[in-house]
Amino acid sequence: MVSMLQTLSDNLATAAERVGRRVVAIRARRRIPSSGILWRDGVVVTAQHTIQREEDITMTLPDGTDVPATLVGRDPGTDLAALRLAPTNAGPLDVAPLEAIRAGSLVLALGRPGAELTAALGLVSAVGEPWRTWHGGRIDRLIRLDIGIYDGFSGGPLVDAEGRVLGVNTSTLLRGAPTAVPAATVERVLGQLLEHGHVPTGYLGVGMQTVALSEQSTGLMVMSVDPGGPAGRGGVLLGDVITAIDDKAVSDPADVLAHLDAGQVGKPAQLRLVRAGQPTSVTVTVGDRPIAERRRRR
Amino acid sequence: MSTADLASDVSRAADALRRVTVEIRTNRRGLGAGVVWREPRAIVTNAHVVGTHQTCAVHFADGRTKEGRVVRTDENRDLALIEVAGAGDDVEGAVPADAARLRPGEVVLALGHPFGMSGALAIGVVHASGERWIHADLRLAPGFSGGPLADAAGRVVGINAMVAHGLGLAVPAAAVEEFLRA
Repeated sequence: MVSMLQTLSDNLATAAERVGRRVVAIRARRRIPSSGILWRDGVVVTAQHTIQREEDITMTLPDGTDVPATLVGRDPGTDLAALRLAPTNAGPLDVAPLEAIRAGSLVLALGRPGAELTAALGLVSAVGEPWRTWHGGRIDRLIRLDIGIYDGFSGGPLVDAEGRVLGVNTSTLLRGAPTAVPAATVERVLGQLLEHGHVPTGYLGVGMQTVALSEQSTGLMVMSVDPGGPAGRGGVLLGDVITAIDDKAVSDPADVLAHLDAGQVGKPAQLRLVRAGQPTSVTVTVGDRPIAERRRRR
Repeated sequence: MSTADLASDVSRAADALRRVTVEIRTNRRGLGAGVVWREPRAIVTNAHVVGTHQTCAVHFADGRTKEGRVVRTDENRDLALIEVAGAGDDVEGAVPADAARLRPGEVVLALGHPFGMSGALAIGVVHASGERWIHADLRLAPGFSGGPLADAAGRVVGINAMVAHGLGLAVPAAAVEEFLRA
């Protein structure tokens, strides 16, 4: 009689084997290669922080062949990067919907820190709300994992017991704790990386600091202005206090970041200001964060 | 099938492993595990469990304690062969299985005596299976050394030897048999 333990074991190994056919080793740093997932035919997704050089990148495919790869782009905000390789006739990836990620689910973290596939078993310990990372990336669900982090963890897939991909693992977004970027976020970011080479981020070109306007209200004092930036061209001055963007009150620089998603780039934004004690407002056209600025935030 | 079935499967597998696992003491402080191998009939442990000792106390699952003689050690493979007079066919022996067939993600069980706690179970999965070591994602502690690593069917695939970078490393069964027949 086959026990349930054997059935579970077979299911896990089969899930690992199935998804393992999409897990590649990426050589873009010293020492141990990192893992990546053949997300679409000719496109590999990995953890951005493991790509430490942008030239001379090679990959080892699951069948053992070494192929060259080029970096399409990276998004430090979500710790994702996309690489291109010659098409291999890979079919679509079996991705689980966001609702399938539940606390308590058994999950495998797969990796390929060399020629061989590796697996670790753990649990989804908590599933939270959409969140924004330290680097400003928008992630559709906070996934906390109870799982061991071994070589090749970052950039590898988080897989459920049915062999569906739940997301891309990374150890850097939660201060070293294991987490995964959900597949829905990967799809969105991958689309932007393939289209623009980066994830467009709304940019005003001001440095801000929270200040108290009265006992009840706070605003953001403009401490620096990029003269050629959207706010500078729109007439924002040093010392202005921003109280709202598009009628949404702001009291923390994070509130501004939250408002400046990719969708805002190129659109007008109305800033409500207190200038020299008098309320006023200006309209600026939200820009795309320049590359130098993105690098600084990496 | 329910998780209760799974739990009873796990405890059955642990009971079966306990019957083929021994405790090995070289002195008051040294404590490790060992496996009663079925064919050839022998007790196997790690070389580092017996160290330079020539004898050790072998405590069987049925409660008997006998004196064991260290017949042979292989420092390179971290294996030791122990002979116990009078512990013959009345002691159950472990059924081995070829570790080369292990797949990443497969469930594995380890039995040992961490911190003097007899017959403790650890459960995890195969991380990677190489010729020299089985890498297992499970939580081992001192006292698991020399004990069995088994697959979900309860067959012994290796002898737990050390922890490296958080992974349990076990000597594959094929290497154990090679050592026993040498």
